[in-house]
Amino acid sequence: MKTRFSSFRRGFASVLSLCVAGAPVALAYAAVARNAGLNPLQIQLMSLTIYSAATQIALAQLLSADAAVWTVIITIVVLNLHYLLYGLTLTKYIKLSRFERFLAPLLLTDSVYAVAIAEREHGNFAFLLGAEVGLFFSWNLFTALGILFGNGLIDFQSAHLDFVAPLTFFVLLISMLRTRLDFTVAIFAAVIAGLCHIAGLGSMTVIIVAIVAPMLGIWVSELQKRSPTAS
Amino acid sequence: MTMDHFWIIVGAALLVYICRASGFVLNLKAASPVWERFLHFVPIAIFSVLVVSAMTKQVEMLDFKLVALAFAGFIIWRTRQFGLAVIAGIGVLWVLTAIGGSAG
Repeated sequence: MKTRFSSFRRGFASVLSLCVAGAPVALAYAAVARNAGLNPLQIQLMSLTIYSAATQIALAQLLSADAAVWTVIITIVVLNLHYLLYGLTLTKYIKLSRFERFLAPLLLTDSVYAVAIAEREHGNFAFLLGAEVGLFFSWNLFTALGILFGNGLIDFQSAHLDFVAPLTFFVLLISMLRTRLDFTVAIFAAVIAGLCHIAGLGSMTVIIVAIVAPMLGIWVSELQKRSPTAS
Repeated sequence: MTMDHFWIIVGAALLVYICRASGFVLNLKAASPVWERFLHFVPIAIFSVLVVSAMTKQVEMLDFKLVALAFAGFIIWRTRQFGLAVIAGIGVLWVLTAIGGSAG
């Protein structure tokens, strides 16, 4: 029990920097949703139930535009398709019971996935839950503050706090790179992501890169095996 | 709030949950070595996308930010201290911004 609680606490502590990084996004979401004509109850309800920045911002705009139900459904699926791969990789590294397999995805986000996979050697359900609860609490707190005070609460821009998110992801990425091939895949992925960005592929970028870059990595490792100089 | 909006929000939440749960519920245990290697590379690819996607939204002072990333990368590489690397990265950005601001 004590070990579980300490894992939970460790998970909670591991997302503190990401809570700060997520704050401007939550405030921005509240502003966008208000401008789209949503009332405070709807804005907070989305943060409590959907709990996904991109989906919430997209849905706020679709609701204000009175979009067709099929448009809403397709948009949501496209924006969240990458979670399929998140679940597949997390269950590869973290042992979960049948019940935990249904509970863990409830509050899963990019940031939770990032810290959980970086801690995969010591990760468990309690760690994952700690990270999820920490981010869920801060996301909803900052949504509420955004509803109450608007965007003028903290000057995130001049403190460069929006830079904490890419910085955290970069640090976690570097900590995961163990071999030359890992580096190669990271560079492949960054280049493909850049090309997808130029092509304007939006949220499909994650799913494209998460499939293409590992395949390139496998191809390179096969080439290395066949090479006569390979050790 | 209209009932229509309420149900759309509830439906959207359910749909997001189904997407999130899909990978947890699919039981792909009979994995080949190639599939294992594929899953090993997926997180690396996703982290790279997250960094690139976030940086494309922050082109302001990109040179300072790249220096800060490089410094944070060096710190995590040498020390394996996650918190230290993040603080060092943001610290470098603040220092560079302050120097750049006073020089300008």
